[in-house]
Amino acid sequence: MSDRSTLTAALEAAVEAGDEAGAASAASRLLEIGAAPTIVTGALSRAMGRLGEQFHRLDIFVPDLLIAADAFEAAMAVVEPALRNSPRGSKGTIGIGVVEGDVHTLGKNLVRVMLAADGFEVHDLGRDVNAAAFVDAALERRADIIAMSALMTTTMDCMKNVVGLLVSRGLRGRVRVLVGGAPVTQAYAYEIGADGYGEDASEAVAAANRLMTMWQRPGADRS
Amino acid sequence: MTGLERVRRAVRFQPTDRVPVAPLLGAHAAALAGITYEAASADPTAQAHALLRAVERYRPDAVFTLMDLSAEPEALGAEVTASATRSRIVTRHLAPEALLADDLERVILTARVPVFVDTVRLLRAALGDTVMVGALVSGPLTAAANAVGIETVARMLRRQREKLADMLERLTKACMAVASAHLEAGAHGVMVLEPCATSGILGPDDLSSLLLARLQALAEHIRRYDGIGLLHICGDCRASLPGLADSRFDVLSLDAPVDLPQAREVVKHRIALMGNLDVRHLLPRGTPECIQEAAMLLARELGSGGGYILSGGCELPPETPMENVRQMVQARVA
Repeated sequence: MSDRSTLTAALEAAVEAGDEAGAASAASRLLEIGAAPTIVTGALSRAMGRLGEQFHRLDIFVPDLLIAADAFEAAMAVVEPALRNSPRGSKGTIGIGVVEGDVHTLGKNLVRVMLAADGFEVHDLGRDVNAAAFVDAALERRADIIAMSALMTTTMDCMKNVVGLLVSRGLRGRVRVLVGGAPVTQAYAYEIGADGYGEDASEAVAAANRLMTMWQRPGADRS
Repeated sequence: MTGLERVRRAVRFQPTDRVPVAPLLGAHAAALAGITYEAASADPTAQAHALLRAVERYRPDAVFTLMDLSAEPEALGAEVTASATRSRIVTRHLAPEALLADDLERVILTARVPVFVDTVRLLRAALGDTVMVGALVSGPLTAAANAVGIETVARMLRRQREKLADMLERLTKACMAVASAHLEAGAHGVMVLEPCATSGILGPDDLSSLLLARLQALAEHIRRYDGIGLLHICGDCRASLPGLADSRFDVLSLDAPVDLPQAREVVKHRIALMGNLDVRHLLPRGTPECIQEAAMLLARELGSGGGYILSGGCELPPETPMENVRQMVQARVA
């Protein structure tokens, strides 16, 4: 087995074990031996993808996914300077945040990492984000998707306000809306006119991919 | 048969004249009384008045204090922010070391925790033994998660397990102190809230190795007062049902994502079940006919022979239409 394949395997294993130092070290060694940054991001993406599937099957749990996300971010910190010199193509741009009145960031943070690992450019808008701030950020970042998370039934109506604001500002055809969080369901997503719903982090990634694919269909509305 | 007798018999798997109904009316009761959540969670007279009006209106078999998961973390020192429309939320967490102090059992009884204890006292004085008076208390894992942050607790589960175990041990004793205060104030039962023990966050192995013995100790503590012990878990906790059945609580209150008849197959008669009409969509947005049908279905499937209390899967949202609550309470089939 070549150094490169040994190191990519070590990187994937370190991420899956939540080993931050190991992941950063393997990423660093890969760059040192001349691997393209996309080799590193590819390995990270595979590892996070497998973890997402395991999480969806309840083979692993939030703590496992969270420490893996830490390891992913440690490796990304190593590879990001190199990526700036040879930018990779992004699947799309997403502004993600927790809705107004809600400060529960765990789900949003996991989805953010999973989306980044899958190749999206993700801008974290933080917590307690009001409808106008979501829409303004989407415009500023030229986001394809606004992704919103809520943990409380009392706050999830902010999602409806974002959809309404996109309509009233004539932006509904330019920005897709993805929603998730404990009280949010597919039925609620339909009810408020959201384009996608993710029951968990891996489903959110799948939904984001679906939205981008649908968007790129000939004749799809992207005015 | 009084509401309290009905609940007590159901909990012991004894037949009742009809299925007991015990919705968590707190936020809805405050809205009905025209007071804010903040006012109800800061003033025992206002909270008790709102709950008593709701009891008068709906005639449930049990009444519980307002669900406010920020009360214990606030007492422990976390910074909270108030809101008129919902419970206070923790906006600045504590360092984990703060929960390793020796005086948690004393500190946790400060700030707004006495508001809820006094609410229990007022409810019991007004209702006597006609209706079960229940207090809601954060469980050790949820108190830890809200005080130091769920992400911190989740990382500690994998990286600082012994320190987390120490923290949970101390918080269990602190939760016992809160439960004691409520039971001594007249509560017939205590519902321990552990939404963070849902399967997505806490796997079955972590539940068994880190939390279960502490929940069992809490349940035994409540039983020493002859109190009814109820354990509430939010979200989809199907993977953890076998462990939760061994928690030694009298009642396991489950959220709408869990199919209750299937849960009964798993837990058998080791623990009574409570729940679990959907409080996110069905109760606030459904038609009264849909609610009646869903409630009667649950009552028929689970209610015969005791072992079941009809309720929502969590606290009712404030905007739930009165007719919907009425349909739920009236669907208590024999």
